[in-house]
Amino acid sequence: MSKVVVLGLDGFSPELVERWLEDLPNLKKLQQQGIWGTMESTVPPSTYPAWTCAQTGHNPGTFGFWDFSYRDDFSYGQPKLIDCTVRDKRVDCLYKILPILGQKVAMINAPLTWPPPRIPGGYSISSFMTPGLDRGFTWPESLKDEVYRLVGKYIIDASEPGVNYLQIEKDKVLRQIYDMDSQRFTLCKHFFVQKQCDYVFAMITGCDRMSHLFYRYLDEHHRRYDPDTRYANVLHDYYVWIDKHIGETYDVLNGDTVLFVHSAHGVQRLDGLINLNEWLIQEGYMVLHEYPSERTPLTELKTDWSKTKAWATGNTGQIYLNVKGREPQGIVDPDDYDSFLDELADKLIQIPDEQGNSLKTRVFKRKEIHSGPFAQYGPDLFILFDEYLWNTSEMVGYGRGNLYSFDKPSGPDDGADGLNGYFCIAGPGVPASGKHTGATLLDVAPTVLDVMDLEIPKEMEGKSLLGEEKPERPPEDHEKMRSRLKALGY
Amino acid sequence: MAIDKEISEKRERQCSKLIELSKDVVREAFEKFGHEEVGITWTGGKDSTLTLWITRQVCEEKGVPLPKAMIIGEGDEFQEIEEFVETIKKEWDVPLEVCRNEDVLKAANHTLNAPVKVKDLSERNRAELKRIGFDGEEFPFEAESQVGNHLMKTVVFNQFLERNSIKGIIQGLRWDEHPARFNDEYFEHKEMAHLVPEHTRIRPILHFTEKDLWDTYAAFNIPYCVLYEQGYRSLGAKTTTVKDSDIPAWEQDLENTEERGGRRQDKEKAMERMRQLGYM
Repeated sequence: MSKVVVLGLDGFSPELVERWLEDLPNLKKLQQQGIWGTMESTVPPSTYPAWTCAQTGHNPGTFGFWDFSYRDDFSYGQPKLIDCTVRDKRVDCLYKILPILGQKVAMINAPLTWPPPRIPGGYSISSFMTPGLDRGFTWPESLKDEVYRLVGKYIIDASEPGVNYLQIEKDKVLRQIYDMDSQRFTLCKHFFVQKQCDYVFAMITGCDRMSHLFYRYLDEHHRRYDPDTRYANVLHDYYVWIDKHIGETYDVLNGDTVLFVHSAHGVQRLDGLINLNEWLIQEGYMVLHEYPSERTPLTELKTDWSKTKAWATGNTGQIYLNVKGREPQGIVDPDDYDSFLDELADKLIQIPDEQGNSLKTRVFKRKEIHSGPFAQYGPDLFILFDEYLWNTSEMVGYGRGNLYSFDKPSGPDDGADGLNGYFCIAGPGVPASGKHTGATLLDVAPTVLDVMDLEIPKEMEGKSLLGEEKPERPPEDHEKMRSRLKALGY
Repeated sequence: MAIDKEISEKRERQCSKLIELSKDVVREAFEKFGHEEVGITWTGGKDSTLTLWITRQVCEEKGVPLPKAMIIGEGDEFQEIEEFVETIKKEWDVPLEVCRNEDVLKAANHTLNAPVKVKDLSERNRAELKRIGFDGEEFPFEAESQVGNHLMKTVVFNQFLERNSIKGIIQGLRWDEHPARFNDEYFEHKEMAHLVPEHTRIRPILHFTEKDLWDTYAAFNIPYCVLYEQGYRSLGAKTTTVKDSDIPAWEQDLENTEERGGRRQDKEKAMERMRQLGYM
């Protein structure tokens, strides 16, 4: 039975790994010794649902959120902010499953872990939503002294609460990101070596933040391409630095431990935003009592719901219908639900970029891709404008008929989260089967359980990436495991 | 306006029982203090309106007028609440006093978040600030802050008791609205203290859960403020209250979600942090 260390490299991109592989000797070695490939994200590839999907083996319909806010009735918009108490009521993450099976767990900065989860017999350090170190960021509480001793003042994210990291001076934020990620690698090794945990998860946030900050210097097709030579190699050098730390982490794992490196989405250049509610208004699907004089989010718009057939939320192409008998003032006849979605989809895929060039847009109905007890509250239609090179804006007030914008509502941003994540897994018991196609985030939790020789709950939707090639466990082991799980109520 | 919700006969009997328990508390209060020395606090919200409705029934049964009622004017009211209060006041003939800390309102020039200079306040208000240990030179005019809350609510409450020689004051608190209420009692005696008159707080509807309350509204056609129909669960000052849903309060999942969720200032902070990290 192997232990597992998971390095969650947020936003780590398979395209960039491929491009720079000769400069990434450690990843190259791991790829040769194990299994690697692209890892498909959720639709949309948003941090909270994506990492939750990886940690649970379930699709978002099971836990009911598609970005950072959600609804749990048929309200207009997504009025509630998702937090880990809601998530943990609805679905079991590995940090809940593993301690029940007798495994010692440490979680560092996993998305959606504030307050820090109380892991029986284990440890946790809370995520980027920690409002301040003085509000508590560790479980048990006393762990904080150990953290301070090991790494000094713990860095919550690329910026301290109160500051937008995309607006800090570049050299300063760069230092902060390196310092932050160094701390996480140090703590990861500590929980494995000193605390002897069976499962350590460390989220390395820098990969994501770096891409959002510096993509314009890397990609000459970027709308804001900047040939400034000071930053031309910043992302490359960071990937090289990450590779060095992956090597160091792998070196301290002894022979009974597997290293699993993966991202939950890639980051690619952002070409712009389609102002989706402006489009719905232009097409007559959404009706306002009053067009706003400044940019206004959906919740503050004066919408005439009695005449509105559809509305959009978020940044990543989610459309909800206003269905009769479902939403408070619904007008779309349930019998016309599918044909109306088809009508919308046909028009949406024809939206060109601002110069009239066509985009490679895909559209999914919810029931085609998400299922589960909370799926009914989710968006009815998902739109992937040019594979998410274009995001969307729910704001209205850009000027009537103005369908394009180029800054996110929070400000300028170089990157867009993409569907392709990266993974590589190597260590004892992992076959050297090389490049693997078809992996998705749903496979992460089953793979971790498989590596640890624990039974995979049959409700989990993914499958182990170790596949058939993994040596079979002796049959008596299976029996023992079954009775143990049965005793635990599985 | 009545809630369009089917209430079973059995459930209606349960609600009647809860009302009876509350009436007993009000009857006991009238016996203890005499109805002339009992007052009642009202906000126009669901809890205090139910309390007022129950008190009114006891008054009718005893053939006495409604006790003197107070409502606090914070300078940050929902218009919908003001309209509801006005309607009910007329319909039920409520002897209502609107209590405002005019001195503070004037010093803030009736402007939310404007700085209030301590030196511009009356002697009484300055003494009150001293009592709670505030020694700053100014504070923002905002009813939900500690200083604002004290001057805008607690002080006018104590003055209302004093002015009307009230010995028992009826309040619409409930055990399940907030963990801090779990230990509250139906009758709580408060000793006289500096700037605080001796009085007893009377809480007839402590035992109602949020679901009991809405079922009672539905079963007995009790009027309510229209904001609840729009999705608000708990009403406070206008600028610090948001709704977490567009579904009428009584149709929301009352048992698994937070009643005062729309009043958490943490929510705004969390949204702001997500924007700072590029997420929203």
